[in-house]
Amino acid sequence: MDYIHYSAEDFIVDDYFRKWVNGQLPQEDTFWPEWVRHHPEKEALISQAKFVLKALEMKHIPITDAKVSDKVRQMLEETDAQLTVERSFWATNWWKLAAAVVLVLGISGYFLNQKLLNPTRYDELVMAQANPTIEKVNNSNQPIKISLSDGSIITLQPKSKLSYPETFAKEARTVFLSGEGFFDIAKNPRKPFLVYANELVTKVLGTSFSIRAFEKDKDVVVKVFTGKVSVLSGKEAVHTASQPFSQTDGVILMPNQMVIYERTPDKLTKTLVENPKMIVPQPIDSNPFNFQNTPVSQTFEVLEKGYGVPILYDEEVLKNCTVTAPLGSESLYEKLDIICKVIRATYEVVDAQIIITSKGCK
Amino acid sequence: MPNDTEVAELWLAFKKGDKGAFGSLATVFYKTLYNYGTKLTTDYTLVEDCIQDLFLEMWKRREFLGETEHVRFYLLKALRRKLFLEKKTSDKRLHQFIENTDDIDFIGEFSIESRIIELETTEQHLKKLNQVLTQLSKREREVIYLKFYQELDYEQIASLMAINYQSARNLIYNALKGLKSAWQHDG
Repeated sequence: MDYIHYSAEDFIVDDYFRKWVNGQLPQEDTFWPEWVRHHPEKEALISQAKFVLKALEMKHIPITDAKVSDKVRQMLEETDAQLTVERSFWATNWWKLAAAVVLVLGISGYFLNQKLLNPTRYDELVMAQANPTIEKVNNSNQPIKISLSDGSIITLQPKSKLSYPETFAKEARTVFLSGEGFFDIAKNPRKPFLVYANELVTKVLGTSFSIRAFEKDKDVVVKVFTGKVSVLSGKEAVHTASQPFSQTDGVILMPNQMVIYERTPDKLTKTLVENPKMIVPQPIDSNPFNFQNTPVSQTFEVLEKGYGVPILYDEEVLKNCTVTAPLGSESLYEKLDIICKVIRATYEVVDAQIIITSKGCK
Repeated sequence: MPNDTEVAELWLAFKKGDKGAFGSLATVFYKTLYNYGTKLTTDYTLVEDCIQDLFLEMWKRREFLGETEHVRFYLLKALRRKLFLEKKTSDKRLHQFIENTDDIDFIGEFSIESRIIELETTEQHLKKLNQVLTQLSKREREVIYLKFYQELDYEQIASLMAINYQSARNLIYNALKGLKSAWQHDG
């Protein structure tokens, strides 16, 4: 290799040269020291190249060996699970069966006299279970707490029932709900938590949320407090039953969002919960909502971050607006009321987002 | 780190369904992938989940995967693509009216603090160097990372970032030229 005509850049990108600078060549390899000695006129060039190489140090996010081996072990376990699923027809297909029951009942419900047969989807789903299940019924007028083997805690409201297997299956944690419950789910991304509640299937990886699904009510409501869940209606669940773990299926809910499923007509609506809560804990010594001559874009950014709710507005129209308002413990909607008054705007909630309409400020 | 031949052998064994080889590949490349992934997003859990999905999909599709001597390149490219798709769906969800970006941003940063002593240089010099480093564009930082940390060649870098060979080369040379000038600054 003829290095005579090399520029500093050429040296830097040369693998052999780089190995030498980084001390990765074996001791007996004396090519570079000798080359430098024979070309004293290149000394400046070489130090320049060395300097640049050493300046290319980057920040790295560390990860421990223990964590890596833990992750690899999880992967190997999961491939084991895949193998069993491939072998066993029933292991793959009981999902379809359970979901099909939802659909069939959904249709027959419209044609048959409900009072006569009173087919509850919950009972059918629970009966379809191959493995032994435990059922908790809350006949009291107080909510009761149920701890599951995975560390999840469920608060079951009066007149509600929850069924769950004695031991969770390898691939997922599945429970069945009739009535209302608040779910605080232990995080386990490799083993999703699924709640079948009448027409809806709610799938989570670790989060807290509530479901209201009474047989007699005309709608089913899922509200999210922390984390991320996805909600599928029974019909979608049939299509996705063979791959029940994809995170992108159904309607995705973020904190402070809820979905309402109307039984007739079969319709899912995503919106915000009645009183959105702050999703990031606030430091005691600072109040981000104390706005003093703050550009409105910055004001909205603080709200978006604090409540995890997207706020949409026309930046161009609002570019001259500033907000002075010592806000703090008001609810999100109260804050928006005040800010909108200041900038002569109105807002509405559409699809779990807030849309601001304004004519702008002078 | 096993050498290229050993990695190629592991790959072949994995394709034949050898789970030990699969586990070894995952162990060998996990840190590399994590290192790259955490320079593409600040959501480190997402990086872990994507790596997990990536390997599990590979295991499922092992018979259909090609024979490759460039396992590292293959994995880095697959991870980048995965993270990009995740970003796209989450962007869409949060900002339905905002135009989608068509690429993922490299957010890795330089840090010369740890090598100040080795650099044997002056205060003013370092200031200039820091300035040049922070002025590098995201793409310049990414090519530098891929070239010097992952040791990919220009062709692989170009394919990974969906640019052409000449652009990849130019990005690196331009960045290096700037850095070189920091050294020349006060002679």
